[in-house]
Amino acid sequence: MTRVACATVLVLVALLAGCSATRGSEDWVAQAESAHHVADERLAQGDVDGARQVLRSATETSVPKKTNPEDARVVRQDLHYRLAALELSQNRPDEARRWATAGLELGRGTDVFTANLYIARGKALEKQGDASGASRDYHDALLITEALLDKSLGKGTP
Amino acid sequence: MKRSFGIEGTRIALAALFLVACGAGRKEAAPAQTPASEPASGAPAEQESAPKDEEAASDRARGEAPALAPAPAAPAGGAALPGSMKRESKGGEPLDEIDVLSRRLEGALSLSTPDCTSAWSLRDRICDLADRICDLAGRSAERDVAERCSDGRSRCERATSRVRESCGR
Repeated sequence: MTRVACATVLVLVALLAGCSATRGSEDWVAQAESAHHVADERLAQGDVDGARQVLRSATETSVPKKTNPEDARVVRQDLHYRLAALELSQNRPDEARRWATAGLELGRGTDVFTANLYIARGKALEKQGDASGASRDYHDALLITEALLDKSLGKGTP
Repeated sequence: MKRSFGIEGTRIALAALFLVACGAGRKEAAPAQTPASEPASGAPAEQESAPKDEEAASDRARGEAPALAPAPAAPAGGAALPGSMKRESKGGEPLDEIDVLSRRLEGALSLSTPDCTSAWSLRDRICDLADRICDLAGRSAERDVAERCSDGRSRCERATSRVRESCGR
C-alpha cells in the first residue's frame, strides 16, 4: 500500500512539474507579447528609447527549458525583427542589421519570421549601399514566400 | 482500513492539489493564449492584401517595419503560433489526436480549396520583392544582383500563373 502511495505521489509530483513547465513557457510567451504591447505604447508616446529598452529586455529573458525550440525561435525572432524594424525607422541601419542578423542566427525556418528578418536586413544593407547583400536577402525572403505560396495552394514547387 | 483510508485521502488531496495548481496555472496563463492565437509581429498586416513598398508596416511596428512587410502567416502554413499554446485544451490535456486530425483536415482542405486571399497576398509579396531586387539591379552594376532580378521576375510570373490557375481573377 505504501508503495502504491509513493508511486501515486511521484506521479503527481511529475505531473505538477510538467504543469509548471508548461506554465513557464506560457508565461514567457506572454511576457514577450507584453513587451510588444508596451513598446507600442511607448512608441505612441514618442518614447523610442523606452520602446527599444523594453524590447531589448525581452530578448534577454531566458527561455524556459521545456519550451518547444521552434516556438522559442519564432518568439525570439519576432522580437529581433521588431528591434530591427525600430532601428530602421530611426535610420540606424547598422543596428538594424545587427538585430536582424542576430535573429537569423537563432535559426531559419520556412516561415514569415525568418522572411521578415531577411527583409529587415535587406533594407539595412540597402541603406548601407550594399546592393549585392540586400538583393541576396530579398531573394532569400522571396524564396521563403514562394514556399509559403506552395503550401497555401497545397502543391509542391513545380 | 484506517491506513488505507489515509492513503486514499492523500491521493485525493494530491489529485485535488494537482487540479487546482494546473487549473490556476491555466487561468493565469490564459492571456498568453490570446496573443498566441494571433500571428506574431507583422502578422496582422499579413492578412491584408499585399502591402506595397513603404506602406507595408505591421500594426505593431507602426511605421517602423521594413518597406516590405511580412508575408502571410498561419493560413499560408508558416510557423505562426507557438505550438505549445495551441496544442492544449483548456484543461491542460494535450490534444494530440485532435491536433493530428485537425492537421489532416487542414491539409485536405488546403488541397481542395486554396486560401486565395493568402495566395494572392503571397504572390504580391513575391512580386514586390522581385521589384525591389530589380530596383537595386537598376542602380548596381553587380552581376549577381541582375541575376537575382531575373530570377525574381520569373518567380513572380510563375506565382501569378499558379495563383490565377487556382483562384481565378
